[in-house]
Amino acid sequence: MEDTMHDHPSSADWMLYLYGESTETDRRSMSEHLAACPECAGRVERWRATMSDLDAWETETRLEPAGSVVQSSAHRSGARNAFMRVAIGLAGLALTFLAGFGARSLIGPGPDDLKSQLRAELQTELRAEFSRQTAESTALTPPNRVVDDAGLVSRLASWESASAGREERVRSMLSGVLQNQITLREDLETLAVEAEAQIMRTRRELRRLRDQNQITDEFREFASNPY
Amino acid sequence: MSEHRKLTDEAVMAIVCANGADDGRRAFADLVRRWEQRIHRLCFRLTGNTQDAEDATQEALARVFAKRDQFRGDAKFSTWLWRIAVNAATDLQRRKRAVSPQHESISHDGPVSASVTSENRHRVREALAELPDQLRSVVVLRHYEQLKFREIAETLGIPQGTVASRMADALDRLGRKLQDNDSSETRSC
Repeated sequence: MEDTMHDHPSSADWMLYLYGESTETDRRSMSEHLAACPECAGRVERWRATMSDLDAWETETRLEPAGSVVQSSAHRSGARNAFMRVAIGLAGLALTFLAGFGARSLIGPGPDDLKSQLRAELQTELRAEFSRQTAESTALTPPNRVVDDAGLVSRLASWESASAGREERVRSMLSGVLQNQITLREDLETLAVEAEAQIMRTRRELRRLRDQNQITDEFREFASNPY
Repeated sequence: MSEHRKLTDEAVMAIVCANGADDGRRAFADLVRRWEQRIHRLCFRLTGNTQDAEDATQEALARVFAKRDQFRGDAKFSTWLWRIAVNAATDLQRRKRAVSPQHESISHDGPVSASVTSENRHRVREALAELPDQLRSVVVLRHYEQLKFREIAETLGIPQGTVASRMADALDRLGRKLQDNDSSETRSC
């Protein structure tokens, strides 16, 4: 990859760079280009900001390199991380309300009324927030068995028997088609034999007519000159 | 504990393909246990809601079992599985849009809250849901599932350069969408 001010790396190249998949040589070259090109630096900065935004949608499950699920520890860490997110969310919400309470207490009605009102509002909001966070965490940290084993085996069994039924119908159809082909071939052979016989009959008839014409010509000649 | 835990995915698939009803299904159940959470997570990010994610996961795993004879032993199982899962989630979304064009993939699993963290998460989910299927698949596979661009290319059956270009396009669109959300929230304050 040439590193000149006028030879910008492509978007695809930048993606490899941002996700750490560039070769060492390319990475160095692109880093130097970034330092010298405000246009590319701006683009990369915007992409990095978006990538950071995407990280807001976290997930809990950890995986071993071979792809197997570390179920028990992932589930525990998943549950722990989910709890932390819920707790942090609730704490943020509580602080927001306390700040609002502080502002209102300077200008509003008496402190006891405000406290009761604030307590009621806070409870409602916290309950709603808790439900929402829990539901979202559960969605990203599914139970160990999303797919019930017995249900899966039973569903696979019915899928297999449905497939077997379909296979049988296809076999039966193919057998019918084959039979039709055999019948068609027999009919064609019969037709060929009959056609050949007809041709033979026609040839004999033509020869007979030709011979008859010859006799007629000879008689005419004899008739015209009998002596 | 799984009797196949020391075997690779490809080795377990060989058992699934070679064996009769009980042994094959037991081996397949072990394979499902290895992958179900990750597939569910992928489907959740692609569809945006829990119910669709579960449906797509079930569909993907059923397809894997039904098509097990098509799995070539020299191929990588994970690549084949990712492709089936992405197709299952995408097909589900298309069917739902065909039936109900206003179908919203993002469901609110609870009342909307003022928490900054959950609000950001919701914005990202909405922005992702608005991407075309082929861009969203790339984002989910690269950014969240951490597949390399080469692996994504094999999974989706497209060149690696196309995958990276789609990723850039997706980040551009997401960036504009998320910035627009920021601007509108600032104006409404």
